[in-house]
Amino acid sequence: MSTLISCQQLNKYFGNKQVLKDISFEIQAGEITALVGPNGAGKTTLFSILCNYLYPTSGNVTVFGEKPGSSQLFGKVGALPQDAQLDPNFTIKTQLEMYAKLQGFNNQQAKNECLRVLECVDLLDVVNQRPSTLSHGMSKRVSIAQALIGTPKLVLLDEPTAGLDPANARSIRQLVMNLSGETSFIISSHNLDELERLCSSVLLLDHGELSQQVIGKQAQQSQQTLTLLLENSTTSTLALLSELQGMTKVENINKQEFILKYNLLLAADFDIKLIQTLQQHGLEYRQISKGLSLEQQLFS
Amino acid sequence: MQAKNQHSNLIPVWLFAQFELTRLFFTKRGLFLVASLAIVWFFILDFLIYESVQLLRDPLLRDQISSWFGEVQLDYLLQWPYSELAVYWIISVFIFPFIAILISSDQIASDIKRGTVRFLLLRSTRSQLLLGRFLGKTLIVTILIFLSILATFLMGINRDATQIVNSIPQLILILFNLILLCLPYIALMSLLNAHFQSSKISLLIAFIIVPVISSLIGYIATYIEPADYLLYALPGVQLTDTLQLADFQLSSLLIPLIQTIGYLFLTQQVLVRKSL
Repeated sequence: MSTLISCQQLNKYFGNKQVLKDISFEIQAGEITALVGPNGAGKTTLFSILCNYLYPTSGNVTVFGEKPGSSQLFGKVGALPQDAQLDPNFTIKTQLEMYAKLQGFNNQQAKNECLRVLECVDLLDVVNQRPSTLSHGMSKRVSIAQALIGTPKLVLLDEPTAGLDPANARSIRQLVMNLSGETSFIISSHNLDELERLCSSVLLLDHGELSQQVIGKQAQQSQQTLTLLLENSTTSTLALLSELQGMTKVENINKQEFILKYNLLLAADFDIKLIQTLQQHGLEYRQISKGLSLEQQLFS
Repeated sequence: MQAKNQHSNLIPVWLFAQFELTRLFFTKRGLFLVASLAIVWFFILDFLIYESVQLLRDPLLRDQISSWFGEVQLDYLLQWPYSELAVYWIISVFIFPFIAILISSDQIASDIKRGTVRFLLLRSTRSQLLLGRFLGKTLIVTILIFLSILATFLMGINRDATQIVNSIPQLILILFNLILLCLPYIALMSLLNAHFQSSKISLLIAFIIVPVISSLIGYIATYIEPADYLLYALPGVQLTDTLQLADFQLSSLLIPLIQTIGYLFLTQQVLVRKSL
């Protein structure tokens, strides 16, 4: 796997305020990476540095081995910058075609590419409209479409589903899933459930510090974790789960949600036994997932 | 779909310039501006130029006008076969800098404010954007100069069709001098746009602050003579010389060109340091 992005000891100050503090990380090609953190954590600043909208105060950043803003990256990197809007004086078609031409497409290719990316976000019918006639959600999808022009190898999406209705948010998630593999994504979002479904690695930024780089997949080791969400539970549920063979620790997050830690060597069919036990005691489950939820991994 | 043609560094500059032409001639806002300028020029041609030419046809009045010019040597204009072009030249030397400022008042300010520039910078460098927009505005001003001069020329032909060939040198002289005259104003607006990121503030500075600074330098120069050289940093310093020229002169060519390069260089320096 090749390195897409490499950041070494990255610092960014706005006046006296340090927004990014000695950030170092690497992202490999083919991954979908989540960038999470509270408001003001520095996510958009980091995105802006990667896209060359901002310069770091110190430290090194390379994208595909090039400095951000290098002409070698044009067409290779797409982005949905936060709050960026298209020019209201031109139609969507005119602007997307212009972007395609800037990336080296000829007139006919640019027309085809414009239609292709709009089709990706299911907005072919607005091709001749001006941005001012679109709803917030539609504008965001058009902005995502522009990020896909030329099938870039890396796409940075800053809050791609914020403000979208559930159906459109879902179609954006599906789009990302479909394109992953040939395209690597870095997605900044507050929606942890969404990131959990999409991403294979997570960067957590908090107060400018990169405090965690979590790999979503559970490591292949004897100690395993399951997250169990029940429809209903009783006071004896915790005790019942504790008695399961191989169980090393049960944690009750809330009334219906449990984190089960077990030893795979002692109970190879732990998950099957768990479901059988729940059924025998009349406990219905809503969800059983391997590992911790992203929320648990990051904030517990 | 991958782009098949990896183009040279100049293609994006040209694409940005083309887009500016589209902005003027194919958007409602642009067409409104063109229509407004056309109306203004219609009145200038119909009243100022046409009436002035009628007056200039009187030999007595021509002599009197010659004496009015005084220190400003404009006698050569009276020798031009088409007086229309002579009057146009005097008027346009003062009007086109204003038009150039107006046309180029929003080169990148709105794009920066709206965030559109972020889409563009994923596909072009800041220098390409700057040069493309500058070239686009220059082309627009050139087209407007060309159209207005053509209208004046046609007025002259309408009056006397025998002087067409004799008037070509003056036509070229005016065209090139007006374009050169406007270049530093457009470049200055690039600089103001990049620095202040507001077309309104850029306009305010160009129309009010720059003339005030110019007057201030003039005032200081009455006490400290070398201060006069500061005027060379401001566009239009060669305006009187340009107006008096009867031919191409090095100073009237070089000063605006050097100013333009200087302003563009400063703009580039501002832009590459700016957070967008």
